[in-house]
Amino acid sequence: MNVPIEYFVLLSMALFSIGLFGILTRRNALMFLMSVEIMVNAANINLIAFALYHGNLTGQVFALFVMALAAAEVAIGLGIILVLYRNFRDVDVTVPTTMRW
Amino acid sequence: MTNGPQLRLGESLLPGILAVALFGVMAMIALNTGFADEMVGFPEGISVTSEIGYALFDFTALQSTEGSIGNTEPFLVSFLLVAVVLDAALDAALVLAKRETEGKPIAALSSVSTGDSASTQPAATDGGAEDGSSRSSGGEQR
Amino acid sequence: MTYELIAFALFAFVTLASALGVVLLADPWHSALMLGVTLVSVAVYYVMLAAEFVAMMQILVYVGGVLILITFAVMLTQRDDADVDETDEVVQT
Repeated sequence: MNVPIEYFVLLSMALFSIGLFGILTRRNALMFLMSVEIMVNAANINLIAFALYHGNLTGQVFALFVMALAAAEVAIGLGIILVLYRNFRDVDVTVPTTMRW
Repeated sequence: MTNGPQLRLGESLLPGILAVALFGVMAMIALNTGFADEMVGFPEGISVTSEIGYALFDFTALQSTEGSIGNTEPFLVSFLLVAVVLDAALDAALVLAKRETEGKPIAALSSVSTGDSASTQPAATDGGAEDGSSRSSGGEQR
Repeated sequence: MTYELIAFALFAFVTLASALGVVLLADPWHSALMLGVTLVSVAVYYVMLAAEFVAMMQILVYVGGVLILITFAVMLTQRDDADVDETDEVVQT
C-alpha cells in the first residue's frame, strides 16, 4: 500500500464536510437522505483505511455493520418521506410544523 | 420535463463557510498527527474475506492466530443485533407504507381505479367480499 | 508508487466532484444520479485498501438497494408537470 493514510483521512473529511453542507443548505427531505449517505460513506472510508493501517480486520467488519444500519435507516427514512408527501403534498422539511411546541 | 442539470447556488454562503472551516480544522488536526509512513497491512496468503466470515460468526478456532491478522474481535452478538434491527426496519417500513382509513389499515398496494363507475372494486386476494359498502375509500386517491 | 497515487488522485477528484454535484444540483433526480457515481467511486478506495468484500457489499447494498430506493422516492414525490417548472421552488430546494 503506497498511498499514505493522510490522503484517505483528508478525503473522508472532505466528503463529511460536503455532506454537512448539503444538510445545512437543502430543504428537500430526499436531499437529507443523500447527504447522510455521503457522510456515512466518509465514515466507512475512515474505518477501512485504519483497518489496513493497523493490520486488523475489526474495521472492515464494523464497516459492514455500518452499511447494514445505513440500509435500514434509508428504508425507514423513505417510508417517513412517503408519509410526509402523502399528508402534506410536499417533501419540504420546513412544512410539517405541527409537532413544534 | 427534460431539462439540463442546473446548479443551485445562492443563500448558502454561511453553511459553505462553516463546512469549509470544519474541513480546515479537521485537516489541520489530521496533518499534525504523526501517522506512520508505512501501513501495517495484511499478511500474504490469508484470505481477508474468510477472516471476515470467521469474525462474524465467532469461528475463533478457524481464525489464523499465528498471522498478524488474528486479533480480530468476535462479532456474533452484534451480527444478531443487526439482523434484529433489519427486521424491525422492514416492519416499520411496512407500517409506514400502510394508510389508515376509519381506523382500518388499508393495504399499501391495493389497486383502485379513480373512475366513478359502480363497477370499480379494489383488488382483493380473497376473492372480494360481497358486502362492498365503502370499498372505494381505500387505495391511491389524491 | 506513483501509479497508485495518480489513480487515487483521479478517483478522489471524481468522488469529490460528484459529491458536490449531489449537494449543489437543483433537481433531486440529478442528485440521485450523482450519488450513484459517488458510491461506485467510493468502492474503488475499498479495493485499494485491500477490502474487496466490503467493496462488493458497497456496490450491492448501496447501488443495488439504497440508490434504487432513493430513485423510487424521487419518482414518487415528483410533482406534476404543471407546477414543477418555475412556479414552485419549494419542491426543488
